Amino acid sequence: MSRSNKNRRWSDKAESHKVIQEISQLYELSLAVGQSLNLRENCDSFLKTLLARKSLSSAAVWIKTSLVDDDEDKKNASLIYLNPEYRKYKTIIPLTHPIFKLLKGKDHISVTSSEKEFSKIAIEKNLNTGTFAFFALGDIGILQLYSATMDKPFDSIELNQLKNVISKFTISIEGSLSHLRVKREIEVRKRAEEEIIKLSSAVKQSPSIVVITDIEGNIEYVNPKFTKVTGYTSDEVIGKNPRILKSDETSQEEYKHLWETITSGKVWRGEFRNKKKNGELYWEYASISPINDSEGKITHFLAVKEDITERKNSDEKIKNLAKFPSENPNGVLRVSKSGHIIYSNKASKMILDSPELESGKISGELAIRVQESFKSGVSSELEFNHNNRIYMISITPILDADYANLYSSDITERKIAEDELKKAEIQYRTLFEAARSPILTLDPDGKIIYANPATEKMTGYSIDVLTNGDFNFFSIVHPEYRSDVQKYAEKKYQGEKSPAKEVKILSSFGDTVEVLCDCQLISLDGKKSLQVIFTDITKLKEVDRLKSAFISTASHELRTPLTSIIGYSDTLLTHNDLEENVKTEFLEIILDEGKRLKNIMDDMLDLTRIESGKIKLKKEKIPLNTLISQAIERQSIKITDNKISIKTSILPENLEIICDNDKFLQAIDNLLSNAVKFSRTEGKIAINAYQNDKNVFIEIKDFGLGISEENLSYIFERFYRVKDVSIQSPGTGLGLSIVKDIITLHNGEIKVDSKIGKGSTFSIILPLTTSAELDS
Amino acid sequence: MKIILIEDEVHIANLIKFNLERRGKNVMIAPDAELGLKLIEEQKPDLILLDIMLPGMDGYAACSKIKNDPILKKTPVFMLTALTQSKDIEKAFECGADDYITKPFLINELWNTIDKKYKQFKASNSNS
Repeated sequence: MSRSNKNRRWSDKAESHKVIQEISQLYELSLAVGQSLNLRENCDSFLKTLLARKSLSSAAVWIKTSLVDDDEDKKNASLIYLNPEYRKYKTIIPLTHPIFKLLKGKDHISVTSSEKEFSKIAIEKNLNTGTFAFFALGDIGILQLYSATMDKPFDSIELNQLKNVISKFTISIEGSLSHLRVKREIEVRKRAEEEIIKLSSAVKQSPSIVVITDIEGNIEYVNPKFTKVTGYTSDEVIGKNPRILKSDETSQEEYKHLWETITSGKVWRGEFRNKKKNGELYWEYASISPINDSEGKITHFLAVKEDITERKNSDEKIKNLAKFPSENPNGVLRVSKSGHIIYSNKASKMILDSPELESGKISGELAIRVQESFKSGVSSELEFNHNNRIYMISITPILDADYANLYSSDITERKIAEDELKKAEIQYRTLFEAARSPILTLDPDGKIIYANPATEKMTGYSIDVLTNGDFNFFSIVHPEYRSDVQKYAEKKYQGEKSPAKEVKILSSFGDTVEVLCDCQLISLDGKKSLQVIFTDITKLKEVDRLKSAFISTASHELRTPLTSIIGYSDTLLTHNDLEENVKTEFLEIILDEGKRLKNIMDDMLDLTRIESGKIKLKKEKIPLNTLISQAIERQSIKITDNKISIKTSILPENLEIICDNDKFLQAIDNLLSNAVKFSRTEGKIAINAYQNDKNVFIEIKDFGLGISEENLSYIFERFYRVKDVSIQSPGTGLGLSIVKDIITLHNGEIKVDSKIGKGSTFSIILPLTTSAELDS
Repeated sequence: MKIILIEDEVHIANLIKFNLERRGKNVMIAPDAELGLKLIEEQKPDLILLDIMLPGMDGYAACSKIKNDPILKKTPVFMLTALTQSKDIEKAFECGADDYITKPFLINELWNTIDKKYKQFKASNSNS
């Protein structure tokens, strides 16, 4: 009833006016809709207009929470608008509330005051009377109207009018919501973009190397640090595999393990030695992790790496430093104050088994020296022999730390070299100083720089005088040769070749010495100097003279019999009228002189052989009587012819001598032959032999012509002959020389005693030789 | 022509004496210098043949004595020796020897040399 009254009351007004008014109201309402995209403004302007035109107490808009706020529970709806008087109320009701169920499929629903439960939810104030009207806002929410004065529901005309306007409002709300959504999306994207920019700049400015690859491992991104470290620009590496950095110092197994780790979705961490674009190697610590998409599928790999080269290098340095003592090729030992070995490196093994170290504690001389070093605080060195090697041990006390470091080095080779150098130096010095020949070095002015002791001996000037700087070398040369030697020295300075010169030296005593002067250009301390060697040739010259004299004499001696041989044979051939006895006489002379020539040549050869030292005596023990008998036997014809009697006396009878049988027999034979030759017919010869504790004496005594005192001193000289007209067959003049040489070879001595007209005695004195000496 | 030969080698002395006498010369032998010098003073020979290597006084000394004697010095002295070295020859000439004949020799050579040299010597001496 109240409903029809109300309808009537509204239709009490003039029909036309009413219609126009209604239309104008609707128009205003329509205008209020969609004026703004702002949801709240939108609701505000529409509901204000609606409340003003209708006698409504309040109006509210409920929207599904999910459409207004993503964060809100999707199962709820929020009261997002209430007219200004009740704006403070914001209430949430679940979408499962019966009111939403009621809405489903209906345009609107009118609820009376009996629906108090809902009104309690909507409005805190207790409104016991009035009418609620609910309109569905499409699928997005509900519009709730409340009239405190109306006691019955809206009539159908009103409802239709409201429905029309509300449907427009719904569209407007939808617009606002979609605007809200877009705005929110834009904000979210903007925020995301800002986030990305932030992240990207963080990556760009990162002090770490950042590399992003695709699933295949091809580089998609590298940051500037990468370029800074590796030298590759991003253009150079994009699309390439990071293996361009490989240095071959990482094993294939490690790469395999890395790949397996990251493809299985895990993070790999480790160190690489990589190669820069310029070939330089560097160390990096890498953390490589897979990047997953929203579905958890790996799309990329992210590598974050640190250049740790410097750290590595310093690590290496530290390691190397640590190796110093251990890898030192020399022995390094550390010894406590009590002498215990605290540390020993590998190389010190060489000496650790020595008696001074083997107990793990130093002993002996080494311990004494270490203690001394501790006391004095001063380092010292000690030479140490072990296993035929020589070590130098340096002892360095570390006083603060109460120990000493011992550094040992094997100096065997150095010592040997030093010793050899010293030896060589001594050898050369000795050669120089012990040289029998004067050796001098001269500067170009003739000043003597060095002179050896032999120079002093030969010249009579002391070395100090010779080398005092004022002494001129050429003053020791005999004036006769001085200019020659100066020219010779000059030539040698010029580097010319010139043979050594035979000159004479004039000593400070006025003696002259014949020398061979040999100069040689040498470099002394980088300066041209002349080395002069004088070889004393006085004796050589004498020998040379003797040799010449011998040759001259020998030639004379050979020519003499030859003169007879040639002369007599020439005479025989020239004269046909010679008597037979004369011819025979001449032929006998030729034969005798021929024999004489042969004897001379034999004797000369014997003499030469003995004197050249080429003869080696075959010493044996010979009974003297046998030897003498043999000699007598050789001379038996002459002895018999001249009726000479020989008396032999040997004491003891079995006296033996040690000699070369052939040579000694030759000597006795020569002496006996002389004795026979110089004996008168029916003369006597005595041969006596005896011994004392040192020597054997053999005497051959004749009582013949004897030798004049004048001749005695020459008789052992070569070709010296005692000439006597009474001597039929002249000797070679070499016999006694040969005898003397043979006796000398036997370490013996020969003497002669003679008086003219009384005879001569030749005595041989032979030292007793023991059997032991014979054997040796 | 009177020749004095001073020679200690008996066979050589006899050889020369035999051959020169066959050519009509008068040859006297002395076995050493002392005897030879006495003989020269006594005999005043035309030519002296003098060996050098003699017992006692040698040929050089003997030659010097002859050449230092105002009377004897005109007698030519020919050295007859087995010494053949130039120094020996030089020494002989220094002592005043007029010529030098070396041993061994062929008889004809000896004769020709003595004859030729003697003639030369005589010619040069008579000229001066």
